Amino acid sequence: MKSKIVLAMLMFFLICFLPANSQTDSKTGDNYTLLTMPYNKRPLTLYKGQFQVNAGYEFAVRIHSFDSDGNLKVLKDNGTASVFHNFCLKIKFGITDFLEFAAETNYLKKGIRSVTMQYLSSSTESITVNTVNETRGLGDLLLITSLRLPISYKWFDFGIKGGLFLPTAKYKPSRPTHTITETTVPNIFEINYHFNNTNGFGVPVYLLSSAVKFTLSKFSLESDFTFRKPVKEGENIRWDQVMTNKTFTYFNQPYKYLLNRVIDINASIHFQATGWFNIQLNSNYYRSGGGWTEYWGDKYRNPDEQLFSLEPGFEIRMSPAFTVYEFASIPLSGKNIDAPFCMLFTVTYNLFPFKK
Amino acid sequence: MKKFILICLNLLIGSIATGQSEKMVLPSDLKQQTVVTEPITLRKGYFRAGTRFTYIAQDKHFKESGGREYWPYSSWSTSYGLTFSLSYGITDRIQISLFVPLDYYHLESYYLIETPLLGMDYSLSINAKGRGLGDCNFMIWYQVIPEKEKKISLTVGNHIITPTGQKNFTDNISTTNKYGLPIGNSYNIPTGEGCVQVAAMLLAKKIHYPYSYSAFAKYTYSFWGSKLMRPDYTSENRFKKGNNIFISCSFDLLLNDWIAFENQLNYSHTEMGKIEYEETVTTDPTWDICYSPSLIFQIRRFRISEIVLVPLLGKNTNSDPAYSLSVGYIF
Repeated sequence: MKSKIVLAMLMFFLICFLPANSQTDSKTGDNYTLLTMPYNKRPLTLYKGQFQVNAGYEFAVRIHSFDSDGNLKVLKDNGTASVFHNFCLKIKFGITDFLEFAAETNYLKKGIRSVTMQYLSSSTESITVNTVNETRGLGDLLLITSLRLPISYKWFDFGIKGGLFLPTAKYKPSRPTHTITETTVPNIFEINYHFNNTNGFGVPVYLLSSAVKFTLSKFSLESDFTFRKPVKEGENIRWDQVMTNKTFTYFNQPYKYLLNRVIDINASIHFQATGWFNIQLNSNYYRSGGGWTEYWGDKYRNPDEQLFSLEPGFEIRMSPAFTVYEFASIPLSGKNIDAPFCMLFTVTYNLFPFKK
Repeated sequence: MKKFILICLNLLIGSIATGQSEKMVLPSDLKQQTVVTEPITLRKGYFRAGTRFTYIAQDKHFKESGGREYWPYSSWSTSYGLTFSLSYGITDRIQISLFVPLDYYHLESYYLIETPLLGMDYSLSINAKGRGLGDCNFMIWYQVIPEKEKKISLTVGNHIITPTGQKNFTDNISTTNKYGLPIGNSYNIPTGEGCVQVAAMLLAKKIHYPYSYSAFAKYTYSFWGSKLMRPDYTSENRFKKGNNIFISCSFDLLLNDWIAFENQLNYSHTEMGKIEYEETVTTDPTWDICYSPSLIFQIRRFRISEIVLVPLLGKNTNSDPAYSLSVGYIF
């Protein structure tokens, strides 16, 4: 009897003191579960209290463009291909499970060369003219509010967005920085025109968007439609120059403009291979037109632009806080537009700052 | 009762104290070590086969006076490289590596020329390509102070670059119009440097899980060689590339068990080079400072790396980022 009592006490002791390190199931709605939610189970907006920072870098090689008839032009054949670098920053916050606020901007760097012209007057007189149009600077600040259906996401979601580009960025071009490269022969020299453009719209631009998402097991479909329109006409300056004795004098003249209206449509299919890995194929259609630009007092309609691209990509969750996105953009058809091949790399940081 | 109390106390101590235990290290675990946790050299008998793709588009350069500017001419140049590598751990401390690069260069230029006196406009286009085997190179590493807990490992190495790539411009073809003015030029760009280079290397690394720190220094000496210095030259000129000093610091961290984030800051300085024409001329010295972040995915024995090299400062050299993707497998 005594040994049974000892054994029973021993068992009780074991149960009390030996910690059971068995796996525990995360509670639905805890921070870890929400932060590691795979794409096919995520709604269109952030969860309540979720804060997200997206830092992205886009590298584009502009070696093709489409002309007004939709024919592909190879820019590298005439030496005018170029690259551009675009750095993006986006901050999002989930006010409720159905309402999200976001702010974003970008920093763009690109330089587009024109065909070099050489003027040969004689064997001892030659002028070479190079032109680079550089665009560089911060973009306007975009503020967006997103709203989705007030239901838990299971297989269908629908949302709308409204936003405004505030003209916070510099939009007037800086004074050109043309230079002259001289040689040992007095009448043989190079003129290097260098125009310094900025990245701002110059006027407020509003944005309306809607999105829809369906999930069927590991597959998801998402589509969005975005419309962007300037609030009003803008006024800017255009620099010109006069060269006297190899010295430049610059002057500028004001002109008016109306930005194009833009329609942007995305449709993507996603496959959630595992909880941390999602691959997708997006198709993007971009169309802009309806704007004009003033030259010498007359308004000239901006060319209508169209571009259709395919964008394969993937998402990798590295930790509950960090996720990496990578996309490539392959232009397939278009009109009146550059057709760069782009690579976009984004790191996302997520947290719930006010939730324990 | 005494026995019972003793048993309970024993169990209590056993349950609370997670006693020290020797970690069982399996060969398969060693093959799956990440760039943060692995030693500098491969372990004895291990191979690592890899390939690395690199892409650079020439758009900007660092000027003589410092600062960055776009190449002004209507010219477009890209280079792709595919390097195959094979490394082998002779012992736990000695590793040898062989690198076989395949290079592809492409240059296209286009100019419009107006001659008012002749009343004629015409264009001149240059189309140059280079593809083929680059300069194969060998490396040997020796761990002088091997990796031990809380200690810095120190490794020395030697790098030999052999001129296996085509060193001369070939197939230089010029075309002219009916007035004898040049309108086109095409040639093959060499894929090799045309000289032997030898380098001494020193690498120190400290692992402080989940971080690792390393410092690397390399001095490359270039021997004299000879090659055609321009596509239109018919005879080779002797030349000597400037010797190069390369210093790099790296801070790596594990984002999770299988993804590492590597941050490198590199400084490179190339001394003045020489070319023997009728008179000996010198080439400008160059230097640059680059930042290179990379994401390295360790998926079992596979290692996939994405690397970007971003030039920050420099002089007399290209300032374009380089993009690399590499895949390695250890066996």
